[in-house]
Amino acid sequence: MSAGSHRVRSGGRIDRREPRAFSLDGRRLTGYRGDTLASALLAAGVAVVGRSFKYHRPRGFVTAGVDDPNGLFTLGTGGRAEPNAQGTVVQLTDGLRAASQNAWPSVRFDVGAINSWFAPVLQAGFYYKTFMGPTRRAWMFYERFIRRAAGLGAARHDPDPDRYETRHLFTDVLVIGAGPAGLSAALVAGRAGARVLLIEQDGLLGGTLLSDPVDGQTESWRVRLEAELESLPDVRILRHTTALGLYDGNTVILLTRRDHCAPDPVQGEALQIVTTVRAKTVIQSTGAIERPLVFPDNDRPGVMTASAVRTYLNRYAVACGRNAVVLTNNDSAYAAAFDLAPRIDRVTVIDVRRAIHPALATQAASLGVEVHAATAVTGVLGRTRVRGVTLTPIDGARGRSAACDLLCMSGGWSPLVHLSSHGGIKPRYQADSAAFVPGGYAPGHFGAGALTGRFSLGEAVATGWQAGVRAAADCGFERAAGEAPTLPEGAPWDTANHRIEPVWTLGGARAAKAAFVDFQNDVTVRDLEIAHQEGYESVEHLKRFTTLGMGTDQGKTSNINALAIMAGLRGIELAEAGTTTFRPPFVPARLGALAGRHVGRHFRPVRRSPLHAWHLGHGAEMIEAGPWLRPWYYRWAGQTVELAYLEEMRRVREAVGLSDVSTLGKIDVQGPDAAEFLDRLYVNGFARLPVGKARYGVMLNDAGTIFDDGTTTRLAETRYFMTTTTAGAAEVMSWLEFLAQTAWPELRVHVSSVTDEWAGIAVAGPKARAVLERALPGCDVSNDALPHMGCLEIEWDRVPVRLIRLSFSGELAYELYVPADYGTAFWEHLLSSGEPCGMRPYGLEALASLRIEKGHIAGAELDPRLTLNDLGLGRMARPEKPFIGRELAARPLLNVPERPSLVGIECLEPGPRLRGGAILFAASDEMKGHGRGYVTSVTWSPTLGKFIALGLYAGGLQHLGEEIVCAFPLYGERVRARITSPVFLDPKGERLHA
Amino acid sequence: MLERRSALESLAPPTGKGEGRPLVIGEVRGFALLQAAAFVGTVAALERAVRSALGVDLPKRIDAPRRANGICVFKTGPEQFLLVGPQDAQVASTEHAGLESSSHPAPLLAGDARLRRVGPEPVRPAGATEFWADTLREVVPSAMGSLTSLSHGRTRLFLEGAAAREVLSTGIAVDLHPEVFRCDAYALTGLEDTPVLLHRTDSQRYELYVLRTYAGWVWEWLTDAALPFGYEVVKKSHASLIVGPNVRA
Repeated sequence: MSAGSHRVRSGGRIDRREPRAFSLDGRRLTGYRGDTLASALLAAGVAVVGRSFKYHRPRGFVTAGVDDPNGLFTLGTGGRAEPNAQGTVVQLTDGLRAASQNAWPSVRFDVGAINSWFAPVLQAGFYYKTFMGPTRRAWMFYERFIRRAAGLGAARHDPDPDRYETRHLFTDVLVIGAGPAGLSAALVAGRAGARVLLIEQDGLLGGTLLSDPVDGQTESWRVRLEAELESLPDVRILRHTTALGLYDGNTVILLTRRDHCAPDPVQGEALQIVTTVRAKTVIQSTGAIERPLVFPDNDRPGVMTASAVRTYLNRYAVACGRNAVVLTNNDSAYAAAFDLAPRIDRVTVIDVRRAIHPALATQAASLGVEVHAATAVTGVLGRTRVRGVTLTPIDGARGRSAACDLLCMSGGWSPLVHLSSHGGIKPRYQADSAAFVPGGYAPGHFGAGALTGRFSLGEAVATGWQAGVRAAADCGFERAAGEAPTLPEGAPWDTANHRIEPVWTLGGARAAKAAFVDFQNDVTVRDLEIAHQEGYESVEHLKRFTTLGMGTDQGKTSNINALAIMAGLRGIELAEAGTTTFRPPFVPARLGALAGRHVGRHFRPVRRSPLHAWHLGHGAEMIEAGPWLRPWYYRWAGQTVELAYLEEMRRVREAVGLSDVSTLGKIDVQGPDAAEFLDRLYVNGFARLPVGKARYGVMLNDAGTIFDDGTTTRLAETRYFMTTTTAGAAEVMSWLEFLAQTAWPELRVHVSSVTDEWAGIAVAGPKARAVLERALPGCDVSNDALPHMGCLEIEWDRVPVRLIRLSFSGELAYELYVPADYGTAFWEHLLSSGEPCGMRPYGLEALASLRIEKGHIAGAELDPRLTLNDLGLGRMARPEKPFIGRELAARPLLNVPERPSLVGIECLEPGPRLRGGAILFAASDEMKGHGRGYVTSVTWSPTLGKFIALGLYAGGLQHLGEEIVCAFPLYGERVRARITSPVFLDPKGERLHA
Repeated sequence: MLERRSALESLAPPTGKGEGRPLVIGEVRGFALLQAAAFVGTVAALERAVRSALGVDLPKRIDAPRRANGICVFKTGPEQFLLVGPQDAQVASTEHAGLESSSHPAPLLAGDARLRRVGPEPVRPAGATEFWADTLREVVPSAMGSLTSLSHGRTRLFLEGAAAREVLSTGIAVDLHPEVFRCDAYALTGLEDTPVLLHRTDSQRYELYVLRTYAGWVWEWLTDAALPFGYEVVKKSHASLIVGPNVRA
């Protein structure tokens, strides 16, 4: 039957002309447009939709909303599979494939249900006591079985093909929840002229009004408000949108689900959108959820909250049973009874209260609804579906059983105080409504509607209107907003003052074992008693010991009942017990949604050199270096890095190569006090550096240890061109700005990053000068005109060029800087000029290896744990001038000769290789502990024909020539080596100065 | 002469004119950018110098730029300003006035006509290829402040069309409501962890000044953000839009 056996013929907000085919565990079913997965399953008569977490008891839907603890499904397959989707929230779409969870082989027959026979031992604390017990090993063994048996849906390893977005929105008034209170608030604020953002979790606006009969009196009010809101230009409405969390500064994170639109990621359509809203004011109109009652076997499929049954009936045209018992301690459940009465065979109200409002009694009588006052349900018959209940008078007389196929329960209402709690405000107990309400509101926040513990429709509209007026006024909009559209006269159950007599457990001693407080985590009254006996008195401890309130629903239906029962056990007032802390997110969110588009190539910003496109077009294999993409090696030199970098090195040592050094940090330092500024920064002096000269400099941090190094060139009396390491560029720039602006504001100096402005190209090798002579004919680059560390500023073909002679490789070398847009053309010009000399490009691997041969320090040696002396640079410092780090660098322990300091290491064995990070021992040492030092950089030296390394070794070059062992315990390797000078190549610098 | 190449050259080939599309994205080329900064106490002097050389005032606040004679000035810090002007052309001149020889006072070096010696002082430092920037250099001594050319260091993108605001809001945490971020407003902000200057140049047109080395990434990010709306890539060869009639002065 396509309509479903429980579908009512008329009414509801479903569209019977638009069927939706879907499947559950392969079973083909049909619902309608407007259904949720839950309503469609209930319409089809599917009662059991899952197995409980621990005992594998059969479970059905309890509620019709975001609070449902039981109806969790895995939707979709492969990378799209979404575990733990709430059937009560999922919009039914054509072709939806749902699978039930935590049951094998099926929810109807589940092997794991054997756990329920062991219920007495599986109670609270069982896992801790049994498996975490005397040895940790026990838990290691049992864990994998337990994790498989107890659990929710499983995460997938497949990549998620869907697209997720993040965005920022701003508004004057953010209204969270579009029930009667939220609609009123949004309307009045919108009329006043404020920018309003109204968000609603549901696909339709109206909140509880959507559960009223669609032809009822409130519908026209709802429709009118929605139409006017849609017509206001500065009111924006986001449906299918949930506030996940509220944060400082009126920042609210929203999650918008677009699953029902079947978005196509290839077209850029997002499945979910996370929005960061910054609002001037926030109106919380989040409403309230109905509490279950706690009595034996209250978890049987067919036991549902009264409001949920009413929602399924009026909104989805589903009668959840034909013979209903409504169990209540307050007036609101009568709404369900009265709406059900004309549509099903029989309705009986079991009210635990002695006195029933005359208006309710009169209407019940007129609808043929039997009402039993001062009576409780103390047991449920049926295992996979309710077949009857045990009714027991409150005064203790004997109970009797009564047949029914649906039990509606109402234990009162719990306002959704989560958002105010996210802001750090503890909920406050309001005794007359037996509910926790927000303990206050942050400045600019207002509460409205059921959230405030006032549950009638009239109060919702009134508090919403008031909140809207105040929020708009807070933003400076005081325009008169007219009258609220008048509401129809309220129904008796709505206006009967919502009297409630809280009862927290029914069924006495029998309640303990199988009266569930938390359905999702299988926590019973007995578990709470055990926690109490074990001395867990704080609600926070109770939660951790029993797992109550954990899981995907975070105890939305269970927390208040549990707290009340715990308070009862301790003999204290509920107000005194307090609540656990509600934390974001309010509903589970996909990690994909939080990541948004920060995936794949958009994961984080990537920096590209001005020469990037050239590299890609000319056989470069690129490598990530911090945020940069740099050429690792070029295919002209070999197909693998191992082959290519050696060939590239050989080219530099024997002829000439060119390399992209645009990634170096470049800082323009200008001003009358630029020289003084640099003198204070660097350990060595820059004030007396002549114009047109470059100097290598080292900076310490203010703790007196290594910060960064680089070459700085004096372009003019008042202008320097600083380069930093690629890795340290951003940090050095911030540090310089910090010093110039806060430490030394009296210095007239400006620092500006020009890293992006200039392309940098290194030309290195014995034929480097010949290349420049060809590339820049007429420019005198002789040793006299441009000696080592000299600089020329020239203009080539109208393009400014900074030509600095300096060397990282140890060869005769130059760095040429041109404005970035000219980088590629100038590189190509150099390359064609250098062709007769055999010039080819070389990549990062060769660059790094060339400098190891020369003993130049770089990334791995520029370690803030090290001192100038450790790196053999102590003589650079000019202690007669003040510089950053000078005083603290003099600390005695930083100057003991036993400190590990820079050495060269050469491999003594022909076969094995040295490895970066290897631990160094003296040949006679026992191989244990941290050794005497470690290898920082290593390479095969084609020049020397062996592995060489730089490293730090206790006592440093005092041990020159000694044999050591380089141990790499991870691979069980030990290699014999010898301490050498870190300068393996051209120690006199003849190549450099050639 | 050596060819200038955009950071986006290989990424953003123009696909059409973009007329009537919900979104047109592209790069603005042909402008020059100069950072001018004063020291504490020399802002007034710098302002006088800029006014005398270029005829434009410095803005007092970081909200909307000042502009005159083809130069647009953004305030970017307490004593720091960004001047955007035409590239290789005289201020306020609509014609390409053949300034190539006259704007280059540097002496020729012997040997090759293409080679000139420009540094060190007192000859102007390298990096300045714009005449108007040179004009300013002549009146700003180093004690008054500093001038730094950034013409190559920033890539200038634009987004134009009904969807522009929404696309930007996916990455920029600035309130772009038309009554808040009015025409000609600008903000120094971040787009997904990269620093940008965002300038609303018309009711549905925004420009972004992006660090050049991030430009490729930002381009890929923006075009991906624009995917659901559909877009076309258009090339604007000249920066006349700085003073275009669209902008409310």
